[in-house]
Amino acid sequence: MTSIANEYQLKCGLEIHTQLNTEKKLFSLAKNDPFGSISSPNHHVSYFDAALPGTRPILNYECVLKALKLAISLNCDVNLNSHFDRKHYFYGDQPQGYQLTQHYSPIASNGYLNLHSDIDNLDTPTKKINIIQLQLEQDTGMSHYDNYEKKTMIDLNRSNVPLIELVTEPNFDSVPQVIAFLKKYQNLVRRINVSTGNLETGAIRVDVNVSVGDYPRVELKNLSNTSSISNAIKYEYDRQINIIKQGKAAELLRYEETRGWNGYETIKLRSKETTIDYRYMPDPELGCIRLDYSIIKDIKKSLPISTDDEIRIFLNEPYNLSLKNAKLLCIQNGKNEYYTNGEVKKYYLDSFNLFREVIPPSFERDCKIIANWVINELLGDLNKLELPLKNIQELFPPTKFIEFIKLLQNGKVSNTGGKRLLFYILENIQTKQFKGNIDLQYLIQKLNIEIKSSVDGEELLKQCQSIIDNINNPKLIENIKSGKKKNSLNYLVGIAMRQTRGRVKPTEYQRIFKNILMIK
Amino acid sequence: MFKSQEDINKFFETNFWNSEKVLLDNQSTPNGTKSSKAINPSNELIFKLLKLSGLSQKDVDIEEIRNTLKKQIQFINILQNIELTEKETFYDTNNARLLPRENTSLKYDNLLELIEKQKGSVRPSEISGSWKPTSLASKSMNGYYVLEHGQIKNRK
Repeated sequence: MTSIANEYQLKCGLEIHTQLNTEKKLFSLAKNDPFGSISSPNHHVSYFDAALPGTRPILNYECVLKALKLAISLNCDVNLNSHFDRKHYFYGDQPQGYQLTQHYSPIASNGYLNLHSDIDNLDTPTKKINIIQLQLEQDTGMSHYDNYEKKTMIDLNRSNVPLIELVTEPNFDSVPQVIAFLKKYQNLVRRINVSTGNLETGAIRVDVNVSVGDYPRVELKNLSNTSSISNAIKYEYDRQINIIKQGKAAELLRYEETRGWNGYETIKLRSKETTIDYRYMPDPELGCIRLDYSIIKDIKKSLPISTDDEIRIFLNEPYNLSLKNAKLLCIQNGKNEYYTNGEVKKYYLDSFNLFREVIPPSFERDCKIIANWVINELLGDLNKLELPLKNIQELFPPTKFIEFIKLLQNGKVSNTGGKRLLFYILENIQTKQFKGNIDLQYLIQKLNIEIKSSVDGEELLKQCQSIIDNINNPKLIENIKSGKKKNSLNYLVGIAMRQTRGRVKPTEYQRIFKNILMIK
Repeated sequence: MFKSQEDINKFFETNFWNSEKVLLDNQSTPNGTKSSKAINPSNELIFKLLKLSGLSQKDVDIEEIRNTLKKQIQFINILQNIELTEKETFYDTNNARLLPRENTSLKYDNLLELIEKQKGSVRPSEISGSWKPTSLASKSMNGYYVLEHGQIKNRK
């Protein structure tokens, strides 16, 4: 007997089309630039892309290499003898009348990708998503519908652009798993440099199969971003459950169907009765792709280690990074325009290695200071100043950065002073005020942030007393004294530090405030 | 399996069967199999096909076209329904043509060499902007090919 939970269990599978970022197209050597050339329609079009009679396809081997990199990264079995089929259907943006694809003998099959609870932020233990197959195929041209003029405008810049179609088993049983998989997949294609991985530009396009319990699946098409994917699945899941609850499943969920997403609801596009017969046939013009077994091992060697493995390395000795920082260094989200994760990682690692050379082993744990200053302070400043990381490499390379870190370590400047100094340096690099070597000693003097080695105790006492008086908040002071709000002491220290521009050590201020307020 | 062009020529020079006989044989099958059932193309379908083929729809002998079309469809149906024996299915569909392909297996270095070699073999039409694809179209606008709405939206 089926339990209620099983009866309503969500099941999802994905079909993902990924545009490869090769220089040229799949079966011609016309430029592969479907998004960049959007304002110049039909500009990157060869005779073959426009299907002029008499033209024949010539396989671009760069596409084969990128497909193999992806297949091996996804733990697939590589097909040493794959070939292309013609899938026939008629549409204005497909001038050949058929699509060259690898339906029957794909380049790879039987792969998987693991999702982990910590790295992929899931509330379930490790989840294995099986990949049925990976096939190379052509993209179509683009249709732009002009409803006012009642015309369809066709641009063939995208015609014959290389695509990888990836099909998973219906292993997903929640929306967060689907989103986590997509994020992981996006990062993977960027990491091994086979695609830009952008959903927004259509470089990755996702169809989702949704079913409940054992009922036939519904395929959702036209999902252009992660929020559409997430909302469409939720909507479709609820729709199917309502049908089941109303006892109409035998009638309405009897056959597989294809539905679209309009931003609010899923809409029926095709049902079993209107399924297209694609009349597949092996392509007689293209040879098969025959590969030597050794190619698998050689391509594997050329690939970087997996993101998951790299994150685990950063979580452990000697780096001991937080999961958040480790992910920031390893995952390419493609969102920040001022630096890539690769650039940040290199800057961090170069700095980290230099730092370890100059500090004694007993200070090993202080290595965290590098991550804190690179990720929290440096990147924060770059974002604020809209300054690309690569623009600081010449004047403020890791060697100079470590010189700066040593000033903090030696107690020459406080954290507050350090923040001020770093921002000043970056600001002046941006406005091109610095010409040659940055003299940190000179800047410390100029900004007047050097920590005083000897301080006038009387003067500091007066300063602290004046801060307490000026706050004029007896309740706050009482809470600090009673230990109710211990952190508020740091609030007072912060005010004092700002007044002296970080030239006095915070510990000195803490001592004086405690004395005045008689805190033990 | 064919090994050379000579084998192919020899095969086609020999008369094993003729299409008229195949059609007649199938028509005489008792109760008629699915393949032999006649499909009668409607006038509407015939005119649509004439239009698609760019042929005149005026002063045509519809009955003659219908009969020819009927025979062609029947013939294709018969071919599609022939059960292949094990001997006939040993052909490798990877070849998908009469003569086998003898391509060598690619190693990693071969693949990299091919990629490098292809960089220098761009043909004139593959250079961006080297020709105007829409110049061959009957309808175009602002660099786009133009299709009437109905044509692309009403597909099945």
